[in-house]
Amino acid sequence: MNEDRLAAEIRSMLAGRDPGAAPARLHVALGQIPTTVGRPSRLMKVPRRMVPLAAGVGTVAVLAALVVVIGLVGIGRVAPSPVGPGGSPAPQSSWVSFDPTADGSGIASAPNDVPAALVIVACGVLAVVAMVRTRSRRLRAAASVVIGLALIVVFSLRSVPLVGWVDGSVIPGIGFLDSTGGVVQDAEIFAVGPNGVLTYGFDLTNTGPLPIDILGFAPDPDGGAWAVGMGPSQASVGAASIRVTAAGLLRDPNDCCILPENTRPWERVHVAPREHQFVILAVRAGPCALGRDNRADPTRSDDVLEKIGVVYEVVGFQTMAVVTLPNPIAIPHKTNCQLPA
Amino acid sequence: MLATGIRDRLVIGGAEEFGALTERHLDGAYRLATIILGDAMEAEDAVHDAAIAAWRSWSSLRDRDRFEAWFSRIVVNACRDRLRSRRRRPIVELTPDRIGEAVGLARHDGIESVAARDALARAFAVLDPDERIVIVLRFWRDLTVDDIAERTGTPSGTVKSRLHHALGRLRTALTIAENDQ
Repeated sequence: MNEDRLAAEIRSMLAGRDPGAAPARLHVALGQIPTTVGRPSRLMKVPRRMVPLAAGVGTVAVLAALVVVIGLVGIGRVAPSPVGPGGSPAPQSSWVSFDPTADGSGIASAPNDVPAALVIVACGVLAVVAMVRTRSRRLRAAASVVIGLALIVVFSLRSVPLVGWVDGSVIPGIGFLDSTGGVVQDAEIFAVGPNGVLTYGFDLTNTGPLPIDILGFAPDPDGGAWAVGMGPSQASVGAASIRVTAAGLLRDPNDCCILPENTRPWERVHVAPREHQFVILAVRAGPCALGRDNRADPTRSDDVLEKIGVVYEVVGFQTMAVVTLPNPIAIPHKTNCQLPA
Repeated sequence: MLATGIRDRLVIGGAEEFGALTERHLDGAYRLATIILGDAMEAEDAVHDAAIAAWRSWSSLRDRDRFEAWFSRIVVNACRDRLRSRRRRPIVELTPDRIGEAVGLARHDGIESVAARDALARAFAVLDPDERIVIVLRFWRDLTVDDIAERTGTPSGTVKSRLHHALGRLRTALTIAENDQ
């Protein structure tokens, strides 16, 4: 069948469907449209040539709004403890002291990765939208820059530690014995007996340019305590040995000593840039730890804790920093000790 | 008060111009919609919907001389939407067996000259909405590929491709009908 014949047949077929003039009722109905149907404001219409620009601006605006929301969520959180004049806690009717033997207080769960994941997914979605809906190279380049910056910010906030020991107070508490004579040089030696608990306070410093909220300390053995010379990529010393089991705070930041009446249970603390926050660690010894009376055992060795994991939040993103203690914590223990089954 | 009066006159003037232009092109739009949709009542609804959409975006039409092309495009879009909503219902796939069945039904009418056209109409009825539209614009409106591209808002290459596929299917239907005669 040739093309002309096919075209003729199609024309004939279509002509057979032609209904002729429109019915009168349609003329009437269309004539009433301007008086019965409102016209939207010109201000609400985006000209076609402006659509790519609007799409690009919308992309950037959504991303900016996302960053702002996350930032407000992070920065907007203030220290939950009531503070009175001079930095002292506001008077309250009754105080609850920090109990170092109550395991779990101040031990944070693993950092929440959802906000960072949301930003990464949002960046991916916005990148696709920008590539598909925007034809302008400038807008694509601008969107790429914004997305790239957002990803850099997210990864930097999560990977660069913003908290650590710089200077300030270091106060050994329960079980402290001596600062010399240990296996490890300059270690603080504690003798607390089998499964005993020691306390150790020191100042954590916000070393970054942004305010942070310290949420607590990483659970042991996954990221909490390592033996001396070991790092977070190596095995933890394990639950049978030394580990951080709780954390607390001072009632009054100006107090000098970690006495029970001076302490309060852990809660999320807001730390401004370059500011200190005094924290109290409760560290539980293993089952073979020596007590104060038998610490001179000639066969003894020391369990050492020198790094801890601090979980904190910055502009809505949670992460963990491995912080080296001002001095290693050493607990003498028997070397020929039989661990309980 | 003066400003309000001027604004009213402008609005009325716009409505009058819109009314005059739609009146002038209504028959063409209605015929186009009916041929595309194959249903006069549905075509009325489609044209009415298109006219409302046109009135709402009346301010975006800078060149009033382009009204016919602009309004046709809106009508075509309204028809496409209706054809696509039809597709949510079960459709009959155009296979050689189906075409043969259609031809058989047509021949059963006893008018052989009508059989081919009937088979063609049945094949046309199951074309993809976009293919159906390009066939109508090409063979009923006698538009060029570029004009069809403008009316449908698609690239010329896409129009050519749709035209090629649609013609292939219609040719198959017509060939089978003729061979069976």
